[in-house]
Amino acid sequence: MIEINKNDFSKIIEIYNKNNIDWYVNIIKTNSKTLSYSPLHDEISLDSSDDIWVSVVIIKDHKKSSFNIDWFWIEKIEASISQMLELIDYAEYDENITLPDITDSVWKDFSNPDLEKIDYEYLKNQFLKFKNYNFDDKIIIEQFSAWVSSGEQIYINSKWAVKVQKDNSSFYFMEIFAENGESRETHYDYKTLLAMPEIKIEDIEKLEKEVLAKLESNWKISSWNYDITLERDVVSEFIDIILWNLWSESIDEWMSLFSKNTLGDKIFDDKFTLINDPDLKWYIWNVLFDKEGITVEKKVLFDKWVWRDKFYDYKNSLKKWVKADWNTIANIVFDAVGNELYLKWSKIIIMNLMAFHTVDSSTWKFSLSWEWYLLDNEWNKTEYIKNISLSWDIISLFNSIKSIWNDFKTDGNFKVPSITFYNQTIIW
Amino acid sequence: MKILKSQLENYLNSFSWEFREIFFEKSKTFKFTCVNGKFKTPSFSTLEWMSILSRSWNNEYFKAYNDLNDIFLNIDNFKKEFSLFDNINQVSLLWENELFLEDTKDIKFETKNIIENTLKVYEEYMIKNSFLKSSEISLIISKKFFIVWNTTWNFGKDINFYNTYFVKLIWEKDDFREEVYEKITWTNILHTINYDSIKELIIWSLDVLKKQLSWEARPNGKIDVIIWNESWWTIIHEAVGHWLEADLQNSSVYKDKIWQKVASDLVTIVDNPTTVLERGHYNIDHEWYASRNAILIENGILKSYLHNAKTAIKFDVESTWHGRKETYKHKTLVRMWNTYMLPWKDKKEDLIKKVDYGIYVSRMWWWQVNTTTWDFVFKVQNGYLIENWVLTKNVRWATISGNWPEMLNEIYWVCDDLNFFDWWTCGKWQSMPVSDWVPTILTKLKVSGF
Repeated sequence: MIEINKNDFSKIIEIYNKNNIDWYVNIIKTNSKTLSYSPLHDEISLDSSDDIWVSVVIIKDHKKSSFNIDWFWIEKIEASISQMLELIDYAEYDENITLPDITDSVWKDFSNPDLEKIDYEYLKNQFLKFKNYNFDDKIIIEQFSAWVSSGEQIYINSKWAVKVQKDNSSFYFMEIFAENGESRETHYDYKTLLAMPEIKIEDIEKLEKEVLAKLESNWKISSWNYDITLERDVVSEFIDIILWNLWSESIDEWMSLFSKNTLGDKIFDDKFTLINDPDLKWYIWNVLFDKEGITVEKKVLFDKWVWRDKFYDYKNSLKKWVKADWNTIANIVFDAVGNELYLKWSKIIIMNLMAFHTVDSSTWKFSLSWEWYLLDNEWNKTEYIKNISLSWDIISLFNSIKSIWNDFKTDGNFKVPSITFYNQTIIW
Repeated sequence: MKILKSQLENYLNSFSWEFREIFFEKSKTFKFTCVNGKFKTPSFSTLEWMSILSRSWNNEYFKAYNDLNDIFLNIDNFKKEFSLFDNINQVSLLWENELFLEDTKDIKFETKNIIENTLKVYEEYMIKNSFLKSSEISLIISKKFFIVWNTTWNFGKDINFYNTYFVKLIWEKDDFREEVYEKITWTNILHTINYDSIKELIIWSLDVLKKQLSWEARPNGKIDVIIWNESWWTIIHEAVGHWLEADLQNSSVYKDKIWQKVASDLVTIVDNPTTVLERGHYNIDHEWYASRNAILIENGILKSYLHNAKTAIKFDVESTWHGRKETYKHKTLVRMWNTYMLPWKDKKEDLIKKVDYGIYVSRMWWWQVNTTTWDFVFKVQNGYLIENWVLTKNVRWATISGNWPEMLNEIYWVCDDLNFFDWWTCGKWQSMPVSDWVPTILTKLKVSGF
């Protein structure tokens, strides 16, 4: 816990008062323990980090400038202030650039106390389950890492509001590589959790089964229109792109894909409801306040296809006469009732995005080759298919929702399900 | 801050295992973004931090701190956390008796002229362009100096510059939207960016954007592809560089292929950070070893992997000294700095005369690489159809795809126009600026217009 003493700030307050500056500070403290394994060197590495990061924002005459330092040293702030005052002259002037009117002091702990018990021995025991697993002869371990991290954020402003929030999380990643003389494949599994990171033998077995299926498969399908299912991790990646286009300022500046739309427009399918939830049990991005110190509230971004809300920082909330309740992303909930018979509606399931570089951030068009499984009549995954290209755009995709599964993600910050889409074109 | 030789010897000799290292880093970064003529929240960042590493066979311990006030206390905490009390080899350092670490507050960036010239060019060339919907210009200047001491040798000190001046332009009308990204990335950016260079960049970017809007052709099939020297820099990095990094040899396609033929005779690829004043230059790597030119593939024959100190021991070879880390928080990996394919004798104009049907690619952008199979796909941002040995229609919204090893064996012509294009950021576990140079080439790839 970082101790905040007003006396420590007296010199800074004096400097800022002299220059007639409003300010707010975010102090972010993180501690982490990591275990990673390098098969090339057959080496276990234990890493530890204690970090403090301080971000200072100054506001003067409706202009804003910032600096980040590694700790709140008075000498560094004094040295920086003259440079910041010179720079701030060039900064954007906007009458809405003011210090948020925050005077309250609050505290909240979102962390899971169980995670504090994790030590290197615990992480090593998880790793040994993976390392000691009796893999098929064609498989070698490619990578393993696991960590636990805790964080504390403190917000202080020139009106002496002090806010504190704490959180923690755990993570593991395991990857295997397979080769049979003709073909080479890798497969991986990872999770970010607000629970103990636990490697399960059934997860390793699944990983092994899937990499061997990829390695041995030579299936091809014809270029055609198919009903296609995106597995929940893939859906998360698409929704992430949508979210990063929801900042009010970017939309106004024509930097967003939603720039040509207005709130109230029907943009996606009627099954598309998206909620930003800052307090969701067992998900990792719970927050009490944002970097401007503004209290975060639950927010419906899309409601049954209709675009309902954006993210507003304080400046843009004043411009639009709306409440500034959040200016970044928390836990994201795809609000729907899932269907147990989901696979009945699909012929093909997409399990993994190889990479997402090919999405054009301007048009939302993308062209990718992915990892797929063909489904049989009983909706079991059968053959693995690779090297298929597709060329869609994200808006059209989310206008074609056919059915929603009941397999909502229980880790990370996305509570989203797998989704099946109508009639998507596949090019072999 | 002053450190005496005797102090440092005490530090390094106070904890255990064969290899021990202390890394200090100080850096300062300045950033501004100008969106539609308005400068958004200009900002500075400074770092003054250290890390400690200890390594024995099969075990490695690492900790990062951001408090330099009491180095002994940090080392003591490190020893306790990992139980590293027993020192088994003493080290004597060979440098001068004391060393000064500069303070970040003394680093000054003179950015006033760049800001003013950016605004001037915006008003003269961008605001008047009615088809331009939005623009973003960013400047990032970063100066990082570091000192590394380790038990193998001695100590080293160097400065790295990571600088970029970046332009993004957006055009939108009806249902069409296009954007273009261009940048200037000279190491000594504060001296090279002036009114003329900013004007040239903006005019060039507007011209590229206009060409993207006037597309006409959608070619398909496996056809001849001429890739201009300014457009395929990522291929040399992704196709060859990474898979020659020794720390990726657990499953690399190039594993155990030293002295084997892996590319066309025309292909010679090196990573050479030694040339002073060029981008990608450094004096010492982040393990303090002096930079050297590493010949990776010579006339199609695989000659060497890229190594740092650790992998060189593993492979029992001399290191190429390519150890790098993103910040004090990270451990040293094998990384590229300044990778290029050597030019040959052909002229670009002559290449077009060799193609009866194909495309000439002048800009590529988004890409995807399957790092296991080496299949790849790139989007053609800007290009031309070649019909009957002349450039004809504009091409965009096409992808070119193939397989890296196959492509390296199917390079038929290499031009004499080696050209540096980019210093960009590679994300192999840690973000790292890298630079790549290539000549124009003729190859055969699958083209998909859509």
